[in-house]
Amino acid sequence: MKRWSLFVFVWALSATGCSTVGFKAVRFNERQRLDDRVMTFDHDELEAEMIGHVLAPREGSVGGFSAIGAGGCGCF
Amino acid sequence: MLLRGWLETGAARLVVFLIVLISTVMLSTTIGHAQDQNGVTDPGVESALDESDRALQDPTALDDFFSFKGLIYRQQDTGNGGNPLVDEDTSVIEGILLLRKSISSNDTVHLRLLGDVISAASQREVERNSGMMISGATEIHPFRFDVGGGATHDFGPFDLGISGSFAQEYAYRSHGFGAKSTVRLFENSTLVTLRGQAFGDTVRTIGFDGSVGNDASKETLTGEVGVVQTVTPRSHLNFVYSFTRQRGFLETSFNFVFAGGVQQSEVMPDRRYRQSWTLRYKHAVGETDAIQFGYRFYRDDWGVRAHTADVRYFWMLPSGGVLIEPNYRFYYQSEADFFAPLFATPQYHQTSDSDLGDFTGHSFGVKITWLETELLGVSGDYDVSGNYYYRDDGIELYWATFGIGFPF
Repeated sequence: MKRWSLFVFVWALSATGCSTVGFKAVRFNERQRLDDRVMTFDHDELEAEMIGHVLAPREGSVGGFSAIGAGGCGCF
Repeated sequence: MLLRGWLETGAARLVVFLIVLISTVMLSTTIGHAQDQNGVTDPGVESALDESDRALQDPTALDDFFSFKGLIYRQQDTGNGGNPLVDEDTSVIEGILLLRKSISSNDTVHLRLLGDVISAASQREVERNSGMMISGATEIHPFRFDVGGGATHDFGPFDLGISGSFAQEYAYRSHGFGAKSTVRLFENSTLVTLRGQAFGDTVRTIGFDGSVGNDASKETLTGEVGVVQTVTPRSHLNFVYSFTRQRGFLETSFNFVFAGGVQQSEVMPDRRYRQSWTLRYKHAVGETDAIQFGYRFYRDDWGVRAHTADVRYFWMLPSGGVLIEPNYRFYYQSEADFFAPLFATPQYHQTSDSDLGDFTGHSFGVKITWLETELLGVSGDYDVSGNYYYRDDGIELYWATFGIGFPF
């Protein structure tokens, strides 16, 4: 499983790190489509929170997908 | 079962290698595109455009905004599902209200109220056995509330927000504090978000037999770093790394195991270190639609490993007023080191909580949003969603949400 972890980390690093090298890939006058509502990550923050409430108690994992942390609830 | 085995094989490693290869090729193309596009911008123009760009990045951030979301949740234990010795049926009704208001050109405050009504079969069973009420999730005291608030200041190239919360249910009380900052770089092509959160919780320790111990404490600290990186004019990536440290009473006090035929409380370690790596990719389709792919890897020092993959499509009807979002989510986790359905002898750490067991889950859902619609004299965005989740250990989850949001 250590290899899995390493693979995922390298993948994520290459994806975000390499693209950061091309940091001006898109200029301000090219962003119309990116700034559209459907292109925003987690544009419905309450829905993301509710899904976290539903899934966090039923799964042994937390983090990412906007569901931060693990405390604050006795849950069920 | 096949998939679990496959995840550990050389074929799985090959797939990962191919993904790395494809993403590298894709990003090489991006860098080439960047080199073509890079140019000199007048600083004054850039500053003005950064301002408008920030507004576009979060269309609601500069508005006074009201939002409400309701949840109806049902968890069904199909016979011997999950832990066969425990009835895991559960129902939850939840509502969240969010109010955000600008108090100056650079400052916003928000208020968040949450209420739950919870009914859990496992806890009712303990209540019947012991002849007393045992937790907030019973027929007698089924309520939970959570109130929070915060403020955000925009410093120009970055913003900084702080928040606090208090939650109470019959057997659980929580204080939470958080801070979040987003830094905007390279004409908003790169957004870096740092987030921290701390919870100090108090647990009323009521055992499966109704015995009541001293209150126990539980501490949770989470740090998170996220990057949203533009890739092309039609796509961007989101990477999130999250680290959580928990200390204190990490058991569910009324959970039990059978060890050597004797019913005993579950016993967990008093520390847990949890990490996750998440990568999401969103791509515009046509003039109005989009598709999103996500993958998360999770691990902790209790031995739980989890893989999550999801895909969501954003389909705007040709009329432009209705957004439909179908989604599918795959989840697999391995069991904790000290999990077993039954124990031959008592163990130092022991749990039969099925949520720490080995299982695979599939969930499907669809959300429909009516944009800028007037209903009962209130104009805003209205949405409903329906979702189904199946765990291969026999637990089924259903939930529906409904919401409204509007600027004011």
